[in-house]
Amino acid sequence: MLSKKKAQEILADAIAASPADETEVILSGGKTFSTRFTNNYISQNGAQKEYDLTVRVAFGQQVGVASCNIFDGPELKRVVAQACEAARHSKADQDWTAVLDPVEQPEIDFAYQQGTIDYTPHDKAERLAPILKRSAERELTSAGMLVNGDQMLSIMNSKGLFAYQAWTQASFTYTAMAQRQGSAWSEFHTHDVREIEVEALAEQAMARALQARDPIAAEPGAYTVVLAPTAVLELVEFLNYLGFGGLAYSENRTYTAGKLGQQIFDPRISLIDDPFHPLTLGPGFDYEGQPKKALPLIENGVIQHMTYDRRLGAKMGVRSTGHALMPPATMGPFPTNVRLLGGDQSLDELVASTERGIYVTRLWYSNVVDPKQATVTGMTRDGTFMIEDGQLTQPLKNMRYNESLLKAFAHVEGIGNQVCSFQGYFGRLAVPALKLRNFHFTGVSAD
Amino acid sequence: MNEKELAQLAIDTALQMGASYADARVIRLQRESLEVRNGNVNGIKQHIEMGMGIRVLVNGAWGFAGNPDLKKSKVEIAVQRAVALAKDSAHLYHKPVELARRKAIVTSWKSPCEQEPFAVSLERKLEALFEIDQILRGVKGVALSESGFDFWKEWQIFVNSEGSAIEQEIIQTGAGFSATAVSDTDVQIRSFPSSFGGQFASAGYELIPTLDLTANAQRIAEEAVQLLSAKNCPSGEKTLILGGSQLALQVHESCGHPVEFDRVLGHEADFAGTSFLTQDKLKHFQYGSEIVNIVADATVPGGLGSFGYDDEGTPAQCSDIIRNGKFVGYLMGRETAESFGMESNGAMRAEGYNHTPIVRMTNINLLPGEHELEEMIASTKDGIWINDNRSWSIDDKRLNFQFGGELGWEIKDGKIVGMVKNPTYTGITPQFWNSCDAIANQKHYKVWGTPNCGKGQPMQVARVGHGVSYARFNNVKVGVGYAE
Ligand SMILES: [Zn+2]
Repeated sequence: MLSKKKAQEILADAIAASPADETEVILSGGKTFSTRFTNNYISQNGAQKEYDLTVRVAFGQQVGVASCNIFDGPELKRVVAQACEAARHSKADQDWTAVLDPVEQPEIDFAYQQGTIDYTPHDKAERLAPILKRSAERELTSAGMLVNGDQMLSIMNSKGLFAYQAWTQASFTYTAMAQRQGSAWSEFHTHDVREIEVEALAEQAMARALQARDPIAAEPGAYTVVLAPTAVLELVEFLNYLGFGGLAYSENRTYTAGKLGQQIFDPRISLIDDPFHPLTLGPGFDYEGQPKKALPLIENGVIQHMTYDRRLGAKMGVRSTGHALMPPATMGPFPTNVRLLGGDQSLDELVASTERGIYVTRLWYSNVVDPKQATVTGMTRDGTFMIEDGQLTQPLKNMRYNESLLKAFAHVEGIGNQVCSFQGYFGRLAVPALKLRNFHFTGVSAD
Repeated sequence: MNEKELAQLAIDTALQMGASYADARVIRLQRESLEVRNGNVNGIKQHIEMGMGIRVLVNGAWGFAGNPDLKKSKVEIAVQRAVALAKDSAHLYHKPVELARRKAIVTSWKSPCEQEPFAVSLERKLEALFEIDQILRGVKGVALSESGFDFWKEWQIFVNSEGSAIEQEIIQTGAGFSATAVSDTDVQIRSFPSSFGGQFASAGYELIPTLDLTANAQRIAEEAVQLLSAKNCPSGEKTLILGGSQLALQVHESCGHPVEFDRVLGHEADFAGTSFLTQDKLKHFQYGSEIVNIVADATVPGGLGSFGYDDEGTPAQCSDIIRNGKFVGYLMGRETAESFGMESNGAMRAEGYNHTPIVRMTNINLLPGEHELEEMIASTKDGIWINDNRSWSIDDKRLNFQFGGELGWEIKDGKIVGMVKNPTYTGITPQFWNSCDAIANQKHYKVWGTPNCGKGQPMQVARVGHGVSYARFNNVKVGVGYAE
C-alpha cells in the first residue's frame, strides 16, 4: 500500500511539475487478490496491482485531465505535461470553479485492517476446501469468489490541500447449484476479512439450492413480495442513480426534480449517504478533496438533499456536498455510500406475515425503462419461491419484473432489521430486506 | 531490457519454477476521450497505462499476476506470485488442465488505420464536436446536447513457453452524439449513429467523416423533441423490425453471450450467469429460423472485435455459430475446447495487462439475407420498427429479454404511419429467433461496435463487434413495462 508519506511525496512532485494556474492531483489504487472457483475447484487465482495518477490542470478556465498508471520521475512529468497540453488546446469551461482551499480532513482509523491484506491465497484455499468438498459430496456445484485487497485515495491541490485515506476490502460471493435447476446465492462484503463466515454462508446457500429444485412457472401479475437484501440491492441502486445525481436533478431529468421537501415514499423509507458507517465505508472526502458529512437523501419518505460537486454547486449557487467523482466526472456528482435504514422485522417475520406472495433472493440485470417514472425492469435469480401461509413453498422459475420505484417504495409492508453491505456500481451500499405490496411481474423465463 | 525480453524473462522464470506452460503479455495503452456538452467542454482526458500480465500453469492449475512495474526485479516477483497462486489452486484441483502442445507463431499484426487519431490536433477534434453541438442546440426544445470522441491505441507483445512471440497494434475510434428533451413528466433521448457513445470501429480518425455526424444532427435533435409529444408505443403482439445498433445488441445479448463456452461450463455461474445453449444442444438445436446465419468473425476489417491473434496466440478466424438456424458452434479458448476434444476458435481475450484471458465475443455477425428494407416494411401489416437502444435486460441463462428503443416507427398495412415513444419488446430467445422471417441484404449490412461488454470476476470490459442489416420478427410482445 502506498503510505500517506509516499503519496504526499508523489503528489507534491506532480504539483511542483505543473506550470498551470491551478492543479489537482489524485492518486488511487491498490492490490486485489481474487480466488475464483467453479464446478467445485479453484479455476482462477489472480493477483492485481494497479495505481492511477490523475492530474487536472486549469489555465484560466481551460481545463485538461490526464492519467497514468506509472509515475516514476519521467512518467510523472509526462502525465502533468499531457494534462497541460490538453488544457492549452481546449476551450474555456464556463463552469470551471477554482480548486478548494486547504481544509481539515477526516480520517477513518478503522478502515484499514492489516489482517485483511495479510490473508493469503493459501489461507483462502484452506477456507474453501471443506465447502467445495461438501458441495461435491452432495452432488451440488459451487461457484464463487473470495477476494481480499486494499485501496487508497489521496488528493493534493496547488493551494496546499491534502487528503489521504486507505482502506481494506474483502468479499465472498457464492452460488450453489443443484440438479433440476436448483440455484441459490449468498454474499458478504466487509473491510475486515475476519467477519466473513464462509462456511455458514455456503451452507445456507447449499440448503436453499436443494429447496429450489424443480421450479414451475408462476402466473405474471401483481404480488406481495418479500425481497431479501440481495434483491433490494438493485432497487436501491436505481433509487439512488435515478434520483440523486445533482447534474441530472438540475436538468429536471430525475424523478426527484421539483420534489425536494416532499414526501413521495412510505414514511419508513430513509436513505442516507455516509462513508463513515462501517457498512458503507469509504474515504471521508471526494475527488476534489471536499470533506464529506453523512447526508440524508430521503428521511421518513421525504426527499431531503441533492448532491453537488464544486463545479455544479457554483453553477447552482449552493455549496459542494462532497460528491465529486473522478475527473473529468462528466456525469456530475453522485452519492457513493448509501444505506437504506433497517426496520424492526426479521426476514423470517416478513415471510411469516405473508399469506400469499413471492420470495425473491436476487434481482438481476436490472435496467431503466423510464427515468422520470423511475420504472425499472429486471429478472429474479438464484432462488424464487412462492410464499403460502407464511412459508416458502413452491420454487418458481425466474420472473421478469417491471415496476416504478416511486410505487415500490410507497408500497412498503415491512422492512428487515438486518442491514447488509454490498459493493455497488457507484460504491458501497447497504440495504435491509423489504416486503412490498402490488409488485409487478410481467413475464417468466423458459428454463 | 525491452518489452519482449522482459516477457521472455517472465516465461523463463516461470518454467524454472516448475510451470508446464506460461504466457506473458506486455501492454501499452493510450486513450483519449473528449466530450462537449451544452456548448461547453465537459471533459478532455488523456490516459496512458502499461504493464505485464503473466499466466502460468503449475501442477495442472492456473495462476495469474498483473503488474504495472516493468523493472526486471518486479517482473520476477510477479512471476513468483503467479506460480504461488497456481500452487494454491492445485491444492484443491481434481482435474488438471492440460494444453495440447502447439507450434510456435512469431509474427506481428496491425489493425487498419489511415489517420493516426492521436496525431490529429485537439483543436480540430473540438471544432468538429462544437459544430455538432451548435446544430443540436439550435433546435428548440433540446435541453441537453452531448457529443464525444474516443480514441484507443493498444500495443501488445504476447510471448509463451511454446516459443510464440506475437506483436499487435490495434487502433480504434469512437464517435457519436445525442440530444435530450425534457418535460416535467418525461425525458426523451435520440442518439446518432447509435446510443451510448456512438459508433466504434478498429479505424483511425478517418472513421469520423464517414459517419455523417453533422448531416444528421438536426434531424436527430428534432426527433428528440418530437418524442415528448409522440404517442406511447401500443401494447400487444406485433411484427417487429430491428436495425442498427438495436439489432446488434439483440445479437450480442441473445446469441453472443449464450454461445460463450465458459458460461455453458459454469465458469460464470457466480457472476454473468450460465447459458441455455447446453452441450446436448450443439449441432441439434433449432436456435432460429432457417434464414438465420450467425458467425464469430475476428477477421472483419474494421470490426471492434477484430484482431490478428487472441490473447492465447490463436489466429483470428471466422467460425459458424448458427447455420441455417441450427446451433453449430461455441466461442472457445484452448482449455475449454480441448477438454471436450475440440480446438480453440480464437476467442480468449483479456482486458489490459491486469486480467487473465477469458472466453469473449469477437465480432458476432448476423449475416445479411436477401430482402430490401423497403420491401420488408411494405409487407408488414401491423408492426413497430426500432433502430436505437435505450434499455436492455436479459436473464442469467439468456432466455427472457426485454429491450427498449429510443424511437419506434409504427407500421400499418405496409406504410410507416408515425412515431411512437418508449418502444419496448420482450421475448424468449429461441422463440424470437425462430420467428425471424426476413433479413435485409448486404446493401444494408454494417458492423457495429460495442465497447462496453462486461464479464468475468474481477470484471473485465471487452470491445466487441456485431455485423447486422435489418431483421423482421413475428408475433412479438411490444409495449411492455408501461402498462399498469
Ligand atoms: Zn456483453
